[in-house]
Amino acid sequence: MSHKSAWKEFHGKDPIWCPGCGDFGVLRAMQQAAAGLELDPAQTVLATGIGCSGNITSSFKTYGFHGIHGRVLPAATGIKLTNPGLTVLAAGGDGDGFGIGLGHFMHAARRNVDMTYIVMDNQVYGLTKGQTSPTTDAAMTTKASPLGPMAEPVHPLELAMAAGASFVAQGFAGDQKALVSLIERGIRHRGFALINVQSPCVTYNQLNTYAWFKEHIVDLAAEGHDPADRMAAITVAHERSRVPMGVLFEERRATLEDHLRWRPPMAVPDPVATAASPGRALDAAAGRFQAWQDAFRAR
Amino acid sequence: MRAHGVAWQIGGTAGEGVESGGEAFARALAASGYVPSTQRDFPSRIRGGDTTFTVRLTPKGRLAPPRHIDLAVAFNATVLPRIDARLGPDSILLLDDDVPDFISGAGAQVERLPFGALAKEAGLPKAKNMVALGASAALMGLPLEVLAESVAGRFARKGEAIVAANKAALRAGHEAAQARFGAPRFQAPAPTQGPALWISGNEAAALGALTAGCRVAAAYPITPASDILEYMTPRLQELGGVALQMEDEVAALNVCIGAGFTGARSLTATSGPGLSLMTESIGLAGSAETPCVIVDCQRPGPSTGMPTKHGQEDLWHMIHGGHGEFVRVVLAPTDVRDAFVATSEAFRLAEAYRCPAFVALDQQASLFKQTIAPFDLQEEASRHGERDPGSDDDTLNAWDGSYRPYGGAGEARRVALPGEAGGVYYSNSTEHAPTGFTNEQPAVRERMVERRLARMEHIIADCVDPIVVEGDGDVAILSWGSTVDACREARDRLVEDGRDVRVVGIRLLWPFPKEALEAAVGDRKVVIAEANAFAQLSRLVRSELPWHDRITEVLRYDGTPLLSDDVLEVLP
Repeated sequence: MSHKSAWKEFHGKDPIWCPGCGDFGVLRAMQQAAAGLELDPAQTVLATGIGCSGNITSSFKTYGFHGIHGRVLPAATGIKLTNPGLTVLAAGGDGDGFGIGLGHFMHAARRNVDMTYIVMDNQVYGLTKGQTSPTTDAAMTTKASPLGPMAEPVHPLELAMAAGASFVAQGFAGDQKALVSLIERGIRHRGFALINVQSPCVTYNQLNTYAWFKEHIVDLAAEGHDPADRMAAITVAHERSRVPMGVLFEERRATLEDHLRWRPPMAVPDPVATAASPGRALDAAAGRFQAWQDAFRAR
Repeated sequence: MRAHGVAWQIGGTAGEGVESGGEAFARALAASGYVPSTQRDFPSRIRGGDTTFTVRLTPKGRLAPPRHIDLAVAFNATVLPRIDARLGPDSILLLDDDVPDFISGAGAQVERLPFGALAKEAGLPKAKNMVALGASAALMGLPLEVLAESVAGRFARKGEAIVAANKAALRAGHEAAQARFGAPRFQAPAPTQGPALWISGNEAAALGALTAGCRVAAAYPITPASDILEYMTPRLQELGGVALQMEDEVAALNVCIGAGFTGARSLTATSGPGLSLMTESIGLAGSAETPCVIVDCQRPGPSTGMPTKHGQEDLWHMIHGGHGEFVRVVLAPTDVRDAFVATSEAFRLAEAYRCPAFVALDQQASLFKQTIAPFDLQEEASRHGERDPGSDDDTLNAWDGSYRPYGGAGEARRVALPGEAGGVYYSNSTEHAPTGFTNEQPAVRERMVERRLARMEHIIADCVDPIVVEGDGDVAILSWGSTVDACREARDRLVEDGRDVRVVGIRLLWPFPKEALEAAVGDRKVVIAEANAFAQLSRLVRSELPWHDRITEVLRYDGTPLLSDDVLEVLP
C-alpha cells in the first residue's frame, strides 16, 4: 500500500538543521523506509542521542526517546528487550556514537540486539560549532584543534566488524534511493544493524563535502562484493582511500533476545504486562515465589 | 549500663572455615528459635587475608554490632589483635593449639582447645570450625542437637560420611569444652518462637523487587551490590524477564531507563563509584520522567574508598547528585525486613510519579543477615494495584497536541507506552512543553519547574511510612538506614533499665518529610546518628528545620557500623 507520499505519515515537525545539511536526506530516507516497510508508528521507537542528529526525534513521527549524549544504544537495548515486538531504531551522530558512546557501540554490536543503528557521520561536532570529532580526517583543523585532531580517525565499519556486528553498511545522504533500501534492509535484518551514513555538514566541514564524497564513493554491489564474505568485508572496512557504499557484511546469528528467551516455558512472558498487574503476575508464579522465600526459611 | 545479649566471634584466615562456620552457627540458632544477627569483617581480596564473623544473640535481633565480644575463637595469630580489640575482662578467647601464646590486652581469659587435632580425630581435618562451634555451644548453653541437625542439612549433599564426620567434630568440641569449663559461662537470651527467614538485605531487596513486578535488571559488578543481580538473574529468567550484566554503570542505568519508558519495572544496583558514573543518567530519568529504581549499596568513599567496609556517605549524592533540579525519591530501609518493603515502595513511587527512585542500603543493611518474619508476597504485590490500560484511540498524538505526556499538575499519572496506539509521543531529556517538544520559553519553563515542585509534595503525601517512630521520652534519636537499628537497640537497653527514648527512622529522605518529622520530634532534644563524618542527615535536617540549638550528632566513620553504645553515650 506504499505510495509516493506515504512517508508523510512519519513526518512530524520540520527539522531545524542548516539548509543543505545531510541529515535532511537521512530523515527522508528513514521516513521512506518506514513507509516502504509499512511500519506502524505506534509499534516503532526511535531512540536518539544528543547533537544535531538527535534533533531528528521531533521530525520522525513514531514513539521516540531523546536521551543523553552517547547513551542511545543502552537505552534502545532496554526498549527492545522490554517489548521485543517493537521495531527499534537508534540514531545519533559520529560524536555521540564513536566518541562519548564508543564503548556502548562495541558492546551493543557484540550483543546483537535486534535494532537498526543509523549514524549521521559528518566528521565534525556541529551543534557546539565546529570541533573535531572521532571521525575527523587528520588533515582537518579547527579552532580548538589548530593542529588537527592529532589522532587517527575512528573507523566505524572496521570497529563494527571487530565487535561482531551482524549487519554492517554504509550509505550517503546524497544518494536517497540507495539509502532508503539500505535502511529497509537494516530494519529487516534480525540483529544489530549499523548503517553509517555519510551526512555532510555544510557549515563546519569544508573537507568532506558532497562533491568530495562523490569523488571517493565506490558502490560495493557494482564491484561484486559479497556481504556473506567476512574477510572481504574486513578488507573493505580497512580501506582508507575510498569510501565504500552498500552492505559490507550480513550474517544471521543469535540475538540477545534469543539468548534470553531460550528457556521455556515462561510463567509471565511480558515485563510490561507484569508491571500492569503485579498481583496477577504473582498469582501465575505464586509457587515459584513461595519457593524462593522458603529457601530463606530458618524455621 | 549492662551488656546486651551475647556476642560470639570466630576469626582466622579466609579459607579456614571462618565464614562457613559462622554462617552455620547463626543459621542453626535461627532454626532453633533464636534471633541471631551477624557481622562480617573481610578484606577486599579473593583469597587469604584475615576475616572475622560475628554472631549476636539479643532479645530483638537488631542489626548493629556489639561493643564487646563475649566468646571468641581464633584460628591464627594475625587475626588476634583485631579480635582482642573487642574483648573485655569477662570474655573468653579460645585458641587452637598451634597458635602462639597470646596475652589479651583486654584482660580476657585465654584458653586453648585442640580444634585441629580433634577435627583430625573426627576424620575430617577441615572440620575444625565444627569443633569450635561445638565448644562454643557448650560455653553458651546452646543445645547441641539443633546445631547437629542444621549441620547435617548443610552437608547432606556431600554424603553420609561427611555429615557423620562433621557431627563427630561438633560433639568432640562440645565434650572438650564441657570437660574444661563445666557449666555454660554465657547466658543467651531465650529463643522467641515463630517462623522466620534468615536473609540479608540485598536478598530481601531483590525479592521485594521481583514481588513488586520488576522484570528488567541491569547492573555492573561492584562490591557490595553484586549479589543483587546474581540473585535476580536466574529468577528473572524463570519469569520471562531480563537480567543483564552491562559494560558499565552508565549502560546499566540507561537500559533501565529505556525499559522504564517502555513500561517495565526496572532496577539497577550499584555502590558509590557506580553511582557517580550514573549521575548524568539519573538526571535523564528526572527530565524525561522515566521510572527506574536504583539500589545504592553504600560503602565508604571517596573514589574506590573501602569496598568491603561500612559507611553511609552517599546521602547527599542520592538527594542532590546531578546537575539541574529534578524529582527523585530516596528511600532508606531501616533493617533487613525493610529492604524488601522499601524496595517495593520505591517501585510504586517511581512509577506513579515518573521519576528515579533510590533504595539506600549500606554494608550492614546489604550483606549482614538478620532473622525476620516471612513476607506476605501476595499482599505486597497487590499493593501495586493494576495499571490503567492504554488508549487505542490512534488519533491521540503529541504532534497535534492531542496527547500531552508531560501534562497534569504533578499528581500520579500514567503515560502512554510504545506499542499503544493512543498517545504516540517522544520522551525528551531536553526541557520541554507538556507535549514533550523541546521548549525554552520562560513561561513554559516556569510551569514545568513548578510541576516538578508539586510532584515532590505529592510524593511526600503518598509515601507509606516516610518516617517510623517508636518509644517516647524527652529525647528523639533520628537516624537513617541500618543505623536506625542501632538506635532501636539503644532504646531496648534503656527500656530494660526502666527508661525510654523516642527513635525516629527517616525512611523517605527525599523529598524530605518535614512535617511528619516535626510532629514526631516536637520540642524534644534531638540526637542524630549516622555513619559518616560530614553529618549528612544532620545537615539536611538543619536545612529544613530550625533545630540548630538542640541537635547532638553521633558519627562513626571508621568503616564499621554504629553501636548502640555510641548512641547511649551521648544521650543527655
